[in-house]
Amino acid sequence: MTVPEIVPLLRAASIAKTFGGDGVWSRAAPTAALRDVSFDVARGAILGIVGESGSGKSTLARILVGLTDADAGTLELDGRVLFGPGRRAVPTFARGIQMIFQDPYSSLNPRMTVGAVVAEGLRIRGGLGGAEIAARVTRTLELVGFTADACRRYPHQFSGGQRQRISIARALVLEPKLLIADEAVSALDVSVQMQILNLLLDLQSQLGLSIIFITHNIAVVDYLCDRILVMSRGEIVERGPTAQVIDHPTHSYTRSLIAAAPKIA
Amino acid sequence: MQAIDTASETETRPVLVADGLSLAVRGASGLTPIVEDISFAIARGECFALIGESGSGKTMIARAIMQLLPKSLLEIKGRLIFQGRDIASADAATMRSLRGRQIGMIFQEPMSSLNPLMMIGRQIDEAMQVHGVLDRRQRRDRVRQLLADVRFDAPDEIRQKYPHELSGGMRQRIMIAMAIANEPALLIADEPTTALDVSIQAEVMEILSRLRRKYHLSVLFISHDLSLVYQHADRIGVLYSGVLMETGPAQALIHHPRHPYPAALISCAPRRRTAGQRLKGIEGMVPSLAAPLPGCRFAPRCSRASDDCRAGRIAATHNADGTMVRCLHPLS
Repeated sequence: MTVPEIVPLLRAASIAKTFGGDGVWSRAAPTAALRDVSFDVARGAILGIVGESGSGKSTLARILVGLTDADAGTLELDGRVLFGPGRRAVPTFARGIQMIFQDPYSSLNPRMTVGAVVAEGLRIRGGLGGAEIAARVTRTLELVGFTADACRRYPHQFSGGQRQRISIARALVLEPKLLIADEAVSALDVSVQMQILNLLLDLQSQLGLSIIFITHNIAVVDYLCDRILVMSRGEIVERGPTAQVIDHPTHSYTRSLIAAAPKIA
Repeated sequence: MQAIDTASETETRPVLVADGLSLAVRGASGLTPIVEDISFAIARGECFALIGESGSGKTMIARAIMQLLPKSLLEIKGRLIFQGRDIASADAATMRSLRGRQIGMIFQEPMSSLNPLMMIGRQIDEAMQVHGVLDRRQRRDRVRQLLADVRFDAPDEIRQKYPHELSGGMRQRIMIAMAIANEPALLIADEPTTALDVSIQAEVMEILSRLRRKYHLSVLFISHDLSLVYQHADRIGVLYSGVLMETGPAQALIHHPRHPYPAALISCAPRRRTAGQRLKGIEGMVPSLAAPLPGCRFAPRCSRASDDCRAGRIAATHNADGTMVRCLHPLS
């Protein structure tokens, strides 16, 4: 008998990635960006991944979404193998995983209207008529707090926080099962940051969306995430429920990360 | 130049005073006010933090003090008194003699502030050479001392490296060494750790604090990060949309803010939710500087705002304890 609730949404097993060392002109030794990374994401959960720059967290995100290929390992989403030994990798647009990026200024095409930006993914994927695309775009923009007239405006007419909501709409319009947010609030002001974090919590509770939230900010993880993975030098060094890991870190690296984060005592 | 002060006056008078400082940028569509009627003072050896969100004008204040923008572009009104003399309208030659000599500055992005073609030792040396205070041998010793000050174990090795060979944190430490090379009275640190990792951020801030004590430096610390400012500043000034809303000692201001803006800012700093409870962000967004509001700039986002807040300029209330709040309905 199977118990579907226990089956995780995402299952990553032994993912590895090494950069460099393969070119004729490359003098530098190859760098292992990821070593034997395995983890699950439960359905409807928000997983926080923390680690400093160079820890491999962004490489991992790019591999999950398909912007970078892994050297080894298996990735399954909802029981479907996205890549694995002897398998052809499922292309990015067909994975059911979408991503939002750190900088809402450089990640939106300034020459496209917001409507076109959000619609682009649906157009590329195909199979929908113009009217259906327009309806979905409007619905998604409303979901992230815009009115329909936002469609005709351009990214420069919006503030940083609004642009990040446009990025979220662009990701959600494709109805992903998993959303990856890579430092998605790091570039935003504190007062706006909370609006985006609350939007993500709304999407989790309303749509049952699963989210991987990559950040270096422990306080944000504490607010947003159900579970946490701590990465260092391409490896997962600690994992568990957020409160437990933050209150009782076992790995020395996790401890230093928590100690280094300034707090208002 | 003004009258020479006695030694005791030099000790007690503030290193920098901004008095009714207003800044406006001249563009194609005329003057855009950036900062309005700001007053603060930084005592000798004190770390004063200006905090604000993007567009609040904090970086423009730093640039105005250093006069990094030509007068044709940035209009400065009011007084900027550095070491007893007004430098708001100082000429280019005066500013050249102050910049890097009496006022040091470090920026957010250390890589773009360093010359990629010049070895580290030479760059630090150059910062001293241009002001002609020390001879070659003295400068060489000083470079070693400075590199040790910013915690490089092997100064002689670091001297011969190029910026690209160093990490972000190391580069920022080099920037600090350069900024304090001439033992300035004032160091302006504009978001010095924003581009760095948390653990490196802590190290860089610790180095800054230690050097501040060692060299009795006054620091103008510009940041958007409340918790960082709380840990490192003696006093804080909170900017919103070009207006200084509140100033006071760091501890008191963070724990008992009187202006609703810092109060809201502190309450929306992310932390653990108990029983799924949400923190409220501040609704709306920072008003456009191009079309300033007649009354309090924060009024549209403020839960305490009333009609009188929107009517006209809000005067600053200066309290006996040296704090300032610019609000008609401050929190008690």
